[in-house]
Amino acid sequence: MLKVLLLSLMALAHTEHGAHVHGTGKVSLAFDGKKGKLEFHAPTEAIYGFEHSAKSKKDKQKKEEGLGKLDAMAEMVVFDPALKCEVKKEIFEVIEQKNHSDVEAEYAINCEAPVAGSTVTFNFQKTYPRLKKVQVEVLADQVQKSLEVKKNGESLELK
Amino acid sequence: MVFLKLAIKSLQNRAFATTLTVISIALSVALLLTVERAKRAAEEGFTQTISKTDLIVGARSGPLQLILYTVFNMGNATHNISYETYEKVRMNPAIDWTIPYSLGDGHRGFRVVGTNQDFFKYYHYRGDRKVTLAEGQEFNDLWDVVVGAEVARKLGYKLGDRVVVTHGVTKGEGILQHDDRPFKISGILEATGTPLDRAVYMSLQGMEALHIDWQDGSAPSPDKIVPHNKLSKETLPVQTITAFFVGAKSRIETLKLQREINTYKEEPLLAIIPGATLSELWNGLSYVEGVLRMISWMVVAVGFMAMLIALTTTLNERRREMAILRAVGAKSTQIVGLLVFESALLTAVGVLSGVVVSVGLVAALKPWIETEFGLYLVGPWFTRSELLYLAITLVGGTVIGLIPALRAQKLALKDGLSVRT
Repeated sequence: MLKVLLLSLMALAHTEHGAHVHGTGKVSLAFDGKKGKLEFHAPTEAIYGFEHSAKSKKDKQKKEEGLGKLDAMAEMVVFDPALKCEVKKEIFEVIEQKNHSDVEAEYAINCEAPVAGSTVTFNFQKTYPRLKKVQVEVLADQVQKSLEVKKNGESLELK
Repeated sequence: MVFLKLAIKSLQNRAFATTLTVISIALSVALLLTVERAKRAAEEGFTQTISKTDLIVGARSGPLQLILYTVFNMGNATHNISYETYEKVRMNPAIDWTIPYSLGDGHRGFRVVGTNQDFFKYYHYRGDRKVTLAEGQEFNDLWDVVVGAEVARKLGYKLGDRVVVTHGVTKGEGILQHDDRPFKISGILEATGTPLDRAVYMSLQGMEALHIDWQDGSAPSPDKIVPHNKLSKETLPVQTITAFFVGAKSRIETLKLQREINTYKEEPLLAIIPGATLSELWNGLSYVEGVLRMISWMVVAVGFMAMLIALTTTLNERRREMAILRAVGAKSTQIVGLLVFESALLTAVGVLSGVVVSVGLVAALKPWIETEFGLYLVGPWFTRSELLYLAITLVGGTVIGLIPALRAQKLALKDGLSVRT
């Protein structure tokens, strides 16, 4: 039975996300014990509403506001309070291409206890409502999990 | 206390019907729990088919395709990757170990995998479990193969048997047999309950030796065949491999490493985190879980119906019993209470027996289920949702008892005491 199911899933492979899909972001989390790293990737359309380069004052303000919210990653990726994790933005970049532009940001995470074994909750849409779907991948010591976050409050058990 | 005594006596009086009712509830609860347990085990077995591997790297295609042909022996790679690229990538300081994988040939419907000794050293599944040999030794010679447990069992192989590899993977006899280059079984793997059992393993050089004199994908003409004895492991260069497994020095480095491989300029490569792709795949299968759960709940509903039928049909026989109870002073609400209590008691005993049956079956059949079906029975005996299902069943069974109880309440006192004609 598993074989049939797997083969039927081959069809799903065609719906894999490309590098740039409007409304879709990607978050990769990796942890070695208490220390971790978060990589965030999303089309700028989901972050500040457009993908052209900001020229008007209004656009520039929108862009600044949208990018400013990247500092609030700890509200989007919520760790167990008992772990006392600190999420700090290290770098971010807006990659402007011919027709599209994306935001990439990296964060350093420091917790007081190992993250593997705990539960992480995601609230992307609270901060970025235009981000309809976020593909989350987590590597926490020997735990490897993934989740497609479509609404606030979805969580992933790292067991 | 009186309630309990009365209920037990009354149930004892109808021991046969009571036993059947308990059995039907027990079986439905056992089925519900077993389906849930099997679901958990299937998920664990599936997502733990490979462990301790940070990345799987292959030619650029889709992540699902890559995991299917490397880990599940299903489908084929669209392209191979050059051995040179593999050598360059594995020099990356973030990499701790690698296992090369070369696919493409088969043996009587089973995959043939070309790899090296690192396969035995680093390939892990189900947490900490390693690939071990049940008998014999690793493929040390060019013409040695190690067969998976299922290959050995199904084809009745033993150490020293000759094996002829087929060009391409076919279910039956191959069109092009590499019968000029037979291999010898040097080892048989311990059963793992994973797709590892269904493959034949040889050295990368062994894989190359099969095709050394092939030109443009066709077999050589008799004058161009390189004699079997002129080939040796040391002189055979490895040209291509299909994929490789990577263990990184740290998880944090893995993300960077993955990005570096995915943007490797010289050859289009794809690196995936196997556990993440497997869990994505499993989530895609979640509708099957829903169907299984629905079936179990339907079975529970049938169990309840059986209880309802048993209680209602015996109600007629119990009119006199009810009437006597009323005559000696029991209130009609107490009659309702008694019947509801009876059904709660039946449900409780049924649920308890169901739990015992399910736990007993799982404990007794665990090793067999693991090797035969690849279901990995780990984790707690009950999860929170399973306990919730048990509670729902208990409440449901008790509430259903209300139906015959309210009917009994309606029966007039004189109805039970009047002389039967």
